[in-house]
Amino acid sequence: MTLSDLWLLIAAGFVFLMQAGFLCFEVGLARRKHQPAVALKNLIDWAIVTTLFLLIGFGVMFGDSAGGLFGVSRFGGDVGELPGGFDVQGLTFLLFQLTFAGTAITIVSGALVERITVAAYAVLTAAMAVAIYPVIGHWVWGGTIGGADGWLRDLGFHDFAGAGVVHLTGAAVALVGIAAVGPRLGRFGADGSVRDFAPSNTPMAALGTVVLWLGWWGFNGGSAFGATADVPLIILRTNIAGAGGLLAALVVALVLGDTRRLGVTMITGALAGLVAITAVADRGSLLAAFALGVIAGGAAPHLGRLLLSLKIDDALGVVPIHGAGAVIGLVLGPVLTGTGDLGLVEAVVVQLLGVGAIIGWSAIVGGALMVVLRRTIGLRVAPSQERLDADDEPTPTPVVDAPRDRLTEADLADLL
Amino acid sequence: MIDQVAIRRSLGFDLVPVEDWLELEREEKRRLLLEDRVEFLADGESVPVREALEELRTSPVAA
Repeated sequence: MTLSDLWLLIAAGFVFLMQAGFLCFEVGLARRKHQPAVALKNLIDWAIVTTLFLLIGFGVMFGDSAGGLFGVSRFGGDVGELPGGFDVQGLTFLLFQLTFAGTAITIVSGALVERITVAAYAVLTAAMAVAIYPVIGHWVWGGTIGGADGWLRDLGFHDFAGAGVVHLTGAAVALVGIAAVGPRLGRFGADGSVRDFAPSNTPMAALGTVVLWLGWWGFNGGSAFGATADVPLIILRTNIAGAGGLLAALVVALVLGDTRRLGVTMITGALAGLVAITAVADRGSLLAAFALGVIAGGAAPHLGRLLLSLKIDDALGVVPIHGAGAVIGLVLGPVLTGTGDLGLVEAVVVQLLGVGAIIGWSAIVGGALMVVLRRTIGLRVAPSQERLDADDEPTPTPVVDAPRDRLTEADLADLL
Repeated sequence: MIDQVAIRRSLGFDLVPVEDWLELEREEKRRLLLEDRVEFLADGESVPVREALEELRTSPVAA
């Protein structure tokens, strides 16, 4: 056990703590009736990911490459020795990557809360763990621990800690999920109005944001894969980008006089800034990191409003935070913080190609799965489970169901 | 006004616009209704089945 092992194990713990952050964030922003289901879905997805990513997903992501597309070895937790240059054990690396997979997958739940069934979400989670997240991970990070590079990595695509692999993948699957599941009942009026679905507990969401923020220190700091001299600066860049995002969201809202749900706006800005810097936390000055956070945090809340105007009910702002934040980080990040071995234009083109590929694969596989689930097991909970009572209290479970007005053949002859 | 129809599948519901419901074959609609697998919604609120079918039979959307 080396010092780097110890740091990566601690960082993995920080990233796992993000599960608690997501849980608080989502429970706080969901409506009260749905809090228990939201919390339980977050627990369930971690259990599924732990099993499937460890057995299958890790091999697809980091196994020997089949043409740069997916891995074909290292299944069943058989990581083996890491190549020279790594100061950590294979199993430490596996644990760290497992917490990353859990993060990518739990991002999706936030967009679909209050209406998706546990069964449908569980199937989606399984697909994410074996076929969506690790395939994209292989494209970007395949070859990190040996074998040929993934095709995007080979082109020079830069995604330091997973703005694309983790956050954009989660956001893209969330977006197709929203399209398949549809908006929450009553969110959009027939007259074109958008109804306000107030968060049940904004302080809880703020606590979740703080926990996520702390987790990000491990997320990005751990991505150095060792206790190196770079770690403190990586964490500082991460921190200041989150701060820039929050402050920009606040200032823009105040300047525009858009102070409704200011707490949620600030949370959105902070998280978008943290997502953006994840792409380039290994590069550039603190000022550049702050600027990137400002851009992402200033823009994300407004993308959320744009989605609402398009009648896209992204319940907890997953697409603005994780999607817009990631795209800004991946595309503008290298412009602000440096482009490594590539020229500026070439770097931007490669980054755009990577963004398109990540969105494409996530949308195609996730979308196809959602269509199948919709037609077979169904995606949504019963309308009666989804609706709130007038006082927003949980609906009492009926002891005896009221008799329904069952139809007969004779009735239908007149009615159809 | 009926704007959505929730159709129960094996483990959950499929929420479709009323136009999609109207495009289903009459036999398919009959089967779903007899199996008590359909819930009609107006602005998110449930509408009694008979009332909903009466409305859809006479609505401009159906025409």
